[in-house]
Amino acid sequence: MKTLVRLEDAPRSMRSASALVLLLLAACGSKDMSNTGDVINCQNDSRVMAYAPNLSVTSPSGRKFILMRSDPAPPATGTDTWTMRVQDSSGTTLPNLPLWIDPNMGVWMPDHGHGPSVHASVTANADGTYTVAPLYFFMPGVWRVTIGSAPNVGPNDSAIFYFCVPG
Amino acid sequence: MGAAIATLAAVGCGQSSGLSRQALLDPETCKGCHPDQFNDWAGSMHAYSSTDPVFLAMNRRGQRETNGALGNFCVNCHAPMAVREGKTTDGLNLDQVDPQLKGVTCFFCHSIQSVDGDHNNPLKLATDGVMRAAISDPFANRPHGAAYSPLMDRDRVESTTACGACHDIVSPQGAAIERTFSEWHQSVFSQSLGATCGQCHMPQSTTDKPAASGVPGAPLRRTHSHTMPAVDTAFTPFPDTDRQRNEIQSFLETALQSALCVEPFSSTSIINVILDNVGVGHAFPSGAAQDRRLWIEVVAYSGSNVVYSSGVVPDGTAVTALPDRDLWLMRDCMFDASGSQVAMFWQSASYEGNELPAQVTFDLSDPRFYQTHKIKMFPATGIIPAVPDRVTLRVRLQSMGLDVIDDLIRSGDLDAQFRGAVPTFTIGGTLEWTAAAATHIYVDRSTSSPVYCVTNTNLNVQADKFPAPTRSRCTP
Repeated sequence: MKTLVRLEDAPRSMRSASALVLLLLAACGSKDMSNTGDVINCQNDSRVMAYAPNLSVTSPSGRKFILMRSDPAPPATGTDTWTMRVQDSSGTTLPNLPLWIDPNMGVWMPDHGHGPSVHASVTANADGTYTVAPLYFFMPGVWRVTIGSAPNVGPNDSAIFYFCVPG
Repeated sequence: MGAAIATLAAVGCGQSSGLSRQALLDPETCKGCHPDQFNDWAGSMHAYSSTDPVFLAMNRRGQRETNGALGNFCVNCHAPMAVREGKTTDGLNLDQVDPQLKGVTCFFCHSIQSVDGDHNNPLKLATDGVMRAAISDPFANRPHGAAYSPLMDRDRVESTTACGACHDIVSPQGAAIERTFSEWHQSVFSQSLGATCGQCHMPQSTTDKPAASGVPGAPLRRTHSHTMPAVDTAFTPFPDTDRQRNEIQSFLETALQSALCVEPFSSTSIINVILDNVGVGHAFPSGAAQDRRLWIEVVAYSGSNVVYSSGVVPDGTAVTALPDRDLWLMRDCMFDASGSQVAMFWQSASYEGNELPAQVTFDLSDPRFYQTHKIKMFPATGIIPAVPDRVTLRVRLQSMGLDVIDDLIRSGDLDAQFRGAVPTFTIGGTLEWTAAAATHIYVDRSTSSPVYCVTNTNLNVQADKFPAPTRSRCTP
């Protein structure tokens, strides 16, 4: 990770002093709003996609991951469900693929460095579509959803969706 | 007032003529055309703020103990329209004040013209009868004028100043006893990729809805919730208490990331608990942190025997009464001008807190990113004389400590019946450690021993961790 000295390894007296400094710093702020953004909203972030039904992302192997619909639409805070379809490069629908979402970073807030505590999964449906749920976007901000092949199954391939989830 | 509602019902919200100021003051008037917003608000703490028995008890006691010098300090935020309409000066007569002026009303927030300070309600209200909101192109309507205001726009930073006006409180003796706005402002959540108060506490609807019902031709909007959940609950019969508690629980579930770790030695061990405040845009707990009680319960078992525990609070017992030297209790303590610890805010000239701080950066390469990873060792000194085969962790929260409730009961200001109304929330369920489940491992640099962890979140236990904030001037 990083080469920062961990305070837990420091002598206890130093830990207490450091904690006190942090407390004092926390108590000394004024409310000069000049360092805040005028607008707090991720909708114009260059990474995010504009939601529309059948929004597609093409994976490195050429598969097209089509987000047929999001419920709710567009993605919103709370528990969302996506319905997807996957096509190969010739446009043939690919049913019953072993798709999955990494339980650690498959649903992720890249700016915050964390995901939800609820893990999403991908279920293949009889009609050849896939259901992705529960997508627990628990707070507003930029969310990244990575859908890929299960480890050791099929090509190591994935599609990444970025959405601004408004508050 | 009944006449105003009758008028709206009879002619429809799109046809009625302009409502008088007196009519606009009454939330029941708003209900006629904005039933969803009203129903949300009616079960919220904003509606409850001047009928809350704990507020009434504290205000009563504060007025008595300061010989009235407390004045409108409490009621200025708890019943702001009653103060501004001249119906109360100290909140002691709230039982005689018209219900329409109680609580933090529709009129109060939607009339804010400017914010002329940053604490203790410096809000200036408009006198033009125009209701301000976040809608940039308000539909012309007859009941009242409508205008866009950045102070109501959850995407605008200005909106936080409207909330902050009553969510930062400085005591009469100068102690910053409530700092939610300051905490947010100093956090990364005040930056462009952060989140405003409203974006978390007033989430947007997921479908387009009418902002007002019965207005022909009015466009559908993305509205937002007015339930405004946080951690406080109603202690008396009140609308939607079940929804209120469910929303709070849902909110709390994602507030923190936690890990439970065991460092085993040959026949002994220590337990480490790591907490990270990832989902809260301010410190946790916040608000009246001198009354909040957030603590960690750890129980270690060898077979069916408990070999170690901390923070196990029997039902009905105040957590502060535990004879527990290891207790990790997060809250503010307050002190008077001489430095003696005090229990009530009007006595406070300073404070000391050990809450979990909010994130200050989203940059993972910034050392400050990991400063919210707080770790505490159990026991604080010594070791556990066994290696447990199972350990459980619960993070527990009371919005109002039972010791505070007891204090108000003892002083005769609060009925003892309310003691049983204080809920204890468990945040994130129970995290259980077993050797088999402990697949997240880091190395304790002071002992070079591996530490085995479980987490039900994405917490990276290998990342830098910092000691849990401590208080030096008060216990527990």
